[in-house]
Amino acid sequence: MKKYLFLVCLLMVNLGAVSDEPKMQTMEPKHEGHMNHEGHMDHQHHSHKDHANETMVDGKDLQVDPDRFNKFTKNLSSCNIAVVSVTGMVCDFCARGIEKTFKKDKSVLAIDVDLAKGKVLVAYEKSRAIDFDEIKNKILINGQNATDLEILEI
Amino acid sequence: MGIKYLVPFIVGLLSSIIDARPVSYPGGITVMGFSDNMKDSIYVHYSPTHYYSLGLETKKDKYSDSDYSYLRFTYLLDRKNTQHSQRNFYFQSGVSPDKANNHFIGFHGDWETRRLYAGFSYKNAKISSQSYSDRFIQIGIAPYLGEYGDIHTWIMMKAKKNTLDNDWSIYPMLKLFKGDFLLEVGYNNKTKLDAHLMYRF
Repeated sequence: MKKYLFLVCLLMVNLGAVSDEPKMQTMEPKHEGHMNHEGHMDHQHHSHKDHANETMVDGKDLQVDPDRFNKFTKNLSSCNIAVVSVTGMVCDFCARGIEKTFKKDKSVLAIDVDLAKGKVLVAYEKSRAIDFDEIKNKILINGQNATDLEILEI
Repeated sequence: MGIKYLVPFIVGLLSSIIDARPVSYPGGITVMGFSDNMKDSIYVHYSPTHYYSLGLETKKDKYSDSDYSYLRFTYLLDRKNTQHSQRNFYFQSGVSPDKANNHFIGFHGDWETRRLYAGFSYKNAKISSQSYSDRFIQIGIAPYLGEYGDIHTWIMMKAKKNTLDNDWSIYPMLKLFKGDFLLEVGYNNKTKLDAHLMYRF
């Protein structure tokens, strides 16, 4: 982890990435994680508590509203946040099912829907493995499509 | 399917219902109430999967001055999601458990972004020995873009025709929704009040 943070900081300095405007980017080197023995995406987790508004490594913008993210994480600690990119999520009324579907999972601590950015933020207990296929299915049965997943650790 | 059915079908595909999501998420139950110059009805449907819903509609038919009910089946034929839009196309049907002669089939569809909406519905129905069709087209715009959890507002125009009534009726509608509750109200001298309430459990 220290090695990783060092590399991150080095990149930040080299890229001059610290700006006045908070900008969140993925900490994931790649989205195509390795499948682990349980068939789950082996996404790498990175501590994000102190870096929630800083630029991260692979240059891909997460496009999460910083204020919204900070509000969402305000009362959260020691958890993993799945930032899910969703298509077809144009209506509040139609997106309600997403919240209801995820809240059936007891390991889900909180959920937020960002209609403007097309993102769903799901806070999971740290011990819970995050499976993109499972998330995709939950989004699909509500009528939308999950196209991408980032996992942030706080 | 004759040409008279194809025309509204194609028009609908190019434009597009206010039955916002006649199929819900698996396990979802939706209660709707409708009232206009032709009917008052309450419709409850349940979605076993995201592809179809089963429901019961009890209806007071103001034209024939009769009460009857429909067992309804709605199936999602097509859905297209993009980053900023969603398009849906459904098959809908209903048959009266009391009188098999009372039945309908039809289609409806919608296309919407966060700002724009277009929807249509077409039904071909038979009540006792009388056949009729019921159709509408609706377009709308959201004057502001609310966040998740806000009250959302749509200003809409609806044009509808029931062949029993014969003429098109065009009128403005206001649609409001917050959380799981949706209200839609329109009015003109011909149709009088056109109201639609929906709550999703």
